Amino acid sequence: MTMPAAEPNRIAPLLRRLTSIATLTQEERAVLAALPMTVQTFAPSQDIVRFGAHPTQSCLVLDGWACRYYVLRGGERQIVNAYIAGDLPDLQGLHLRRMDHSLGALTQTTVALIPHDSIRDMVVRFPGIAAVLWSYSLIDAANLRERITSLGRRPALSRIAHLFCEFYLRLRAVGLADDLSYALPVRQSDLSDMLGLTSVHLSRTLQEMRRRNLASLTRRTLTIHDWDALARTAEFDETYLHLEHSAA
Amino acid sequence: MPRYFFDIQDGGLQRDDEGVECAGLDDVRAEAMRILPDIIREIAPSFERTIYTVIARDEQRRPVFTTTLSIVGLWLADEGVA
Repeated sequence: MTMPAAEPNRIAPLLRRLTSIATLTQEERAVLAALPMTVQTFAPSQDIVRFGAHPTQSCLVLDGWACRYYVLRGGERQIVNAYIAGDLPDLQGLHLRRMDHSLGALTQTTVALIPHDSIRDMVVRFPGIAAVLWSYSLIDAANLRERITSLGRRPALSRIAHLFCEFYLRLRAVGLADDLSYALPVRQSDLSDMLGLTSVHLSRTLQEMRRRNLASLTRRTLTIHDWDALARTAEFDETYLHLEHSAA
Repeated sequence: MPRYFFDIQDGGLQRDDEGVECAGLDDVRAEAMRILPDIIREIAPSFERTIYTVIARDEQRRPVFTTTLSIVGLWLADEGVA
């Protein structure tokens, strides 16, 4: 079967992400590459999908950092997860009609909006892709379980260390991190809201992290100085990321 | 929004060079009050007595608000005394 090789580079982050957790056949790659999509760019802090919306398309992050979040009455925001190139942060909209949280851009973020009808049609015709997307959703849930444990129980230093370890492996899986360093272009207040820490406590703990020569965040670049020590501090076990295949 | 700086005193002084944007003085007070429980919760298991103070300063570094939190633990039975 021949599929039009529509913009293979546009879909590249998704292929890298999905092949980091499963194997895709050439045909399945071609089917994914042929999905119709509209590309849209969002400014920092702009919502991509709002709480209560009934989306008819799912978005694929092509570039930038997006997040799923809640805002409480007093204005406090909890970011429950961050999403990078190759992620499908609102795949759930395919089966859960009404958004139960908001999805927003943390940095300038470019996403590809894929119609639900096209995804539905694809997963019916290609059960292999359906299985990979299902795995992806389960891994997202595993990620949130780990986040709950961090937010509920890990002290600040290990909570931050854990997030930094996770981001490194997730970014590396899609080719955005290497040599224990990566761009972390989010604001410090975004990190505070991911970690459930006050900005001051976060700053103080980042200083401590640097003092112990674990990692440092300078001009929005995160550098890990000692992976083993950082992972030990975090009690980081990468099993939950299920990165079974190394980066393409 | 103006930026406020939250220095922490815990025996030594830890100056805040980053600062936090606050909409108004109510926000400054709320932010200052939130910081100490965060810090104390983590160190509490290893201390029997400690005291922390936050001093919030404006952009000219004038102090505008302070708050103090102390934690004191006391053994009431002989078994606990090392």
